[in-house]
Amino acid sequence: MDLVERYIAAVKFWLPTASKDDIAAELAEDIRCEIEEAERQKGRKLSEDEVSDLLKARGAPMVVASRYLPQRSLIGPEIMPVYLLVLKIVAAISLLPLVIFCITALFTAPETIASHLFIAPAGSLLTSFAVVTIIFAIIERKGIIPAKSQSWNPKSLPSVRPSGRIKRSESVGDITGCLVLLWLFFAGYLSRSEYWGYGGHIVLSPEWVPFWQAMLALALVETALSAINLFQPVWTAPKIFLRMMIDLGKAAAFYWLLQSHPLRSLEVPANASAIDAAKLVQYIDRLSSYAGLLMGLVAVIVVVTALWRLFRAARQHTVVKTLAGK
Amino acid sequence: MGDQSAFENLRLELRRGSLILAVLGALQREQYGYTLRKTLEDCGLPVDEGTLYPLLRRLESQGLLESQWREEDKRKKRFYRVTPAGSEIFARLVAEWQGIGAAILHLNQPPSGDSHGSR
Repeated sequence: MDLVERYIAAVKFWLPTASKDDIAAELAEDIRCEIEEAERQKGRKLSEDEVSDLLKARGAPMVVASRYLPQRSLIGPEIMPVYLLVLKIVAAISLLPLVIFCITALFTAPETIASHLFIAPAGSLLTSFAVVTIIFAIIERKGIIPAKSQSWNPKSLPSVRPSGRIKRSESVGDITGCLVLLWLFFAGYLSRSEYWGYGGHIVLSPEWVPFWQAMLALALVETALSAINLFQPVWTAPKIFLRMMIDLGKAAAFYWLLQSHPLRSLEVPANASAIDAAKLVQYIDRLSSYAGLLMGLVAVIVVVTALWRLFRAARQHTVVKTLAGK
Repeated sequence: MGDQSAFENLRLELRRGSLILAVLGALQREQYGYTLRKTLEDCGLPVDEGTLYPLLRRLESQGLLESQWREEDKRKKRFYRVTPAGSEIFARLVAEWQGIGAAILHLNQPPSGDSHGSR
């Protein structure tokens, strides 16, 4: 019987104070009945091992006790999707300062990156996770979102945007950017490599002039493509290919420019001593030494984006064909 | 293996709801926990104590059952029986359960000759 008493005591430990004695008494009685019946069938007393097996079959004390407790969750299934979405957004935001720090440190003090790469994000991620979880636990406890979901209105749902459709705002933005570039070029701002003004003097590499000419040519093609997209806002294979070539062309032009020691000298006005001209030139040159890596990364992003657009366009085509019953 | 596990899970889900009916039905006559388990087992509805006792407490807290500690064979036992409210709900649930059973049987009948869904 000692084993049974120990088992009951262990179950009691996990039970709520108000009902633990009552539950334990009923459980003990049930176990006694089961033992008595087993002993009647065998015609003898059960051994300690047999009692132990019988208790084991009932389950661990904590598991048994948990069946008597109301089902509780820190964050329930109703708000779980919102919780996960907020966690992802907060994780991205908390990592943003690190990304900015790494990019800055790449040009100023690269040796400090490694030491900041793991400790700082782990701390900020853990804090964000804890804060978001506490807020959602309070929401769950107060039942705020389930109450709100009772009063939802189907008419307030956002309209469905067909996937693969090019946003008009995107096309208008591209065209505006190209027009600004055109204006700057024809106004003469981009056709020289030396600039004076406000007591300062900037000398650029001569490669800047052909660079802007190449960018202008690409901008003209981009304007034409954006104009077409404005009226036919769907990606097709030729348009995806053209967009990719324009972007790769821009990346290649930047790479070529960065190789040319683009900022030759910088003289700042005497009253603007806060700007360390020599350091700025040094930073630009350091950036140039990473030109291959940076532009290679940009090229990969451009190609992956094009492949993704191609995949989505192909999928959309398949869906339309399926819906048309072809 | 996967099919068997899926079947077991679905069977448990199906039994969970039906078990309430079985308990309310069996407790039309007063019984204590262990004899109730035996009654259900003898009727082909074996249920482990970890499921039965919490269910009895839940039904009692809902006012469908009432219980009483009493001495029997020199031992204190907790006897349960259905309350009048429990009996009324039991009758309604049985009607509902029979309706579900009839609907499922109807849905499982072989299609008649002029079926629209024939292949």
